[in-house]
Parts: sequence; structure tokens; C-alpha cells
Amino acid sequence: MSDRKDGPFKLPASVADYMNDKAISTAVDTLLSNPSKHRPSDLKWGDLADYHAATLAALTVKYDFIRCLSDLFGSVWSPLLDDTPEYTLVDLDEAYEWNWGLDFSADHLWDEGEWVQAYQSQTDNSVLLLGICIDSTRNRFQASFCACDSEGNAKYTEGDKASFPNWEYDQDTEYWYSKPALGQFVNGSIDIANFKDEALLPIFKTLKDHRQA
Amino acid sequence: MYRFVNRKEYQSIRLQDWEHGCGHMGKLFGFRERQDHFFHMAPIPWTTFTEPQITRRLVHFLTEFGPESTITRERFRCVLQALGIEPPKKITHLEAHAEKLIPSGRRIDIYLEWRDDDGRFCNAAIEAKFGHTLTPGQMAEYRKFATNRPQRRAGDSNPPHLIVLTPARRSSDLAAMQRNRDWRFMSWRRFLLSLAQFSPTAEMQGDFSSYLRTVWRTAYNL
Repeated sequence: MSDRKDGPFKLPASVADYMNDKAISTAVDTLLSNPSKHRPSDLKWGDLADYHAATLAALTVKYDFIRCLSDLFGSVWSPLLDDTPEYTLVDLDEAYEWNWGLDFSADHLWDEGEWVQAYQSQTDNSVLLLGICIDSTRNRFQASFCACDSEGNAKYTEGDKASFPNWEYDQDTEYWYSKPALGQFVNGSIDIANFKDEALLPIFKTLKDHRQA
Repeated sequence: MYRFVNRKEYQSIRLQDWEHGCGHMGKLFGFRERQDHFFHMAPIPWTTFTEPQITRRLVHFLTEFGPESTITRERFRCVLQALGIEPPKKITHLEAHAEKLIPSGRRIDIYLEWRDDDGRFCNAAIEAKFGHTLTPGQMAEYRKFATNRPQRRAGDSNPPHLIVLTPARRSSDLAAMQRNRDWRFMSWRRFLLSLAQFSPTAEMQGDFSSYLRTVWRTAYNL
């Protein structure tokens, strides 16, 4: 990992307000949950214009959040991907065909707060699933990864805990998740360089050792 | 006459800045001007209120300082306004009951009585729903009870206010409402937002705002 230019990652103002201001999050969730999206009801005539403008603002939060997931993913994982050129991004439609549970619909990304991309090794067909998950209620993010061999078996499991000191293994999903405390946003921003040092360097090292073995 | 929308005007609608959008949200829900608005509160954690707990808490809000208290009169006034009832200038003879037992054995969720500026008897029966279906029978019984109160004197011609509080209008309730046209729907949304708007600031602090936020979660799962 040679790129040390990365500064703090800043959330867009809309997303930061959604995560820090209870009134905003209640309003946005209310507007986005309106079951009759095409026919606003239970409003006074004078509220209709504000309702539509407010709904547009709520949608702004939703789509800024999706953009934020994508940007955070790039910010966290791009150095690893630069360092592992044998892994290439699996085509989106092909990724859907695998049983990886990937879903990039706006509603899914908003509801789950998770962005996962799949990479396949050109040398041994092993697969690397890398993810980012933003927990808007707790104001933090976690990175996640799952490395599988060409047969789909997880390469690193509970027994490999010593290799990933700042990660927690989930047996159900076979994913590793970075410890929540490492991804805490403070005033809508986080020091990604610190996160990389604490969480990502062990993965770089393990993958490198694995390649050399 | 039809004209094309000027490009600058169109962009001003599409590309509203976030602050501007927040302003519309604040205006729509009324939380920008009120730091004590329940939207600023977290719902009470690890708790789901039952329907009777919700109605009892609201009645407690109305009765905890006794019928002669200025605070009680202010609170009564704001609840009536939130229910869409014009409160009298001087409100007297206040009574509020949760789960009011009526002769048929049924219970009215919230029952209110007061007298207007001319001393005339007024009352309201409120059926508070969070998803159960209305039955025409209960509505007729509540009307009969509210109409035939012995406190009504000759000339007390104010008909009772009959209100169904529900998260949203449901087609399954329409038949019951059509057979009881003197009842009217009111959403929890409108009631809670109006209550937040009309309440004196001092009354909205602390656990009552958390309570309102928790009712909002109960009604809308948010």
C-alpha cells in the first residue's frame, strides 16, 4: 500500500444530517415509506407543494447515500485492488447469477446500507467478495470481505482469527467484518488512512503470503 | 397558452440545494421552529405500547394537574385543536377518560367532556385504532352514549364529536364509516403533528415528546 494521499472521508451534508439529526431521519423515513407514493394523502391543500419538495429532498438523501456507499467502497478497497491485479471485477449480470446475494437496486442499497463487489482471480479462479456497510443509526461503517476458493469454500474461517486482529468472523455469512469501533464517523467524517493501517494491512499481508505460498 | 419551461427555472426546481430541501421538510412536519418537537426525540427503546397504554398516557397528560389547573386547560385546548375541534375561549368542567366503560359493556378509548363559553355541554368520543377493523355496532353504541349524557341540559344542542383516530384510511373501514356518517376519520399523523404544533413549549419537554415519538413509531412502524 503506497498511496498515502488519502485524507478524511467526508459524508455528504444530506447523509451526515440524516445520520446525526433525529428530526431529519424521522422526516426522511416517513417520506420514503409513504405507501401511496403516487397519490399523497392526509395533507392539507397548502401542504402539497412542500410535500413534493420535501419528498425530493428525502430522495436526495437516499441517492446521496448510495453514492456515498460507492465512494466509500472505492476509498477503502482501491489500494488492495491496486495491489492484487490478478483479481478482476466480475461482470454485474454474471455476479447476479452466482448465489452471492448481491442486489444493487436503490431500495436494497438504502435498506441494507451495504455495497458488495465480486472479484475473480485470473490465476486460480478464486473469488474475493469485498464490501462496505454503513450503519446510519449508529453513525459508523464496517468493511467486509469473504475469500473463496474456486469451489466456493471460504478460505479464511474462525481458525484464522490471529491473521485478522481487527476483524470479526460471522459463521453464518462466512464474511469477516471490521470491528465497528474502527469505522466511527465523527462530525460526518472519518480518517480512512487510520482505518487502513488498523484493519486493511493484515489482509494485504495475508493475501500476499497466500499468493507467495 | 402552452409555453416551454425556461431552462433556468427548470433547474431551480430539479437542483434544489440540501438546505432548501430541509426547509421544506421542516415546514411540512413543523419541526424547524420547535426544538421540542417529537421528531427530535428518539422513540422509547425496547418498548411497544399497547393501545390502552397509549390512550391512558394521553388522558394522563390531560388530567394530571386536576380540572381547575391552568395547565390542564391549556393542554385540553391544544388536544381539542389537534383533534380539529375549535376550543372555547374559556374552557370549563373538563373531564377526560381512557377506556370509558359504557352501559353496553364496551369501552370508549378516549372520552372527553367540557363546557363552552356559554356553559353548554360538549363532548367527544374517540376510537383510537392501530390496525384493528372498525365495527358499525360499536360506533352506534358510542354515539348513543355520547348523545344521551345526563349532563346535557335543555338547549345543549352541540352534537358530540365522534372521531376515529387511525394511521390511515383503510378500505375495510369504509363500510362502517358510511353507515355512521357523523363519525369522521383523523389520522394519527395529523393529530400528533398538530399536537406538537399547538402544545405550549413547557408541556412538550421530557417524556411526553418521547411518548409522542413512540406513538408515531407504533402507528407507522418508523
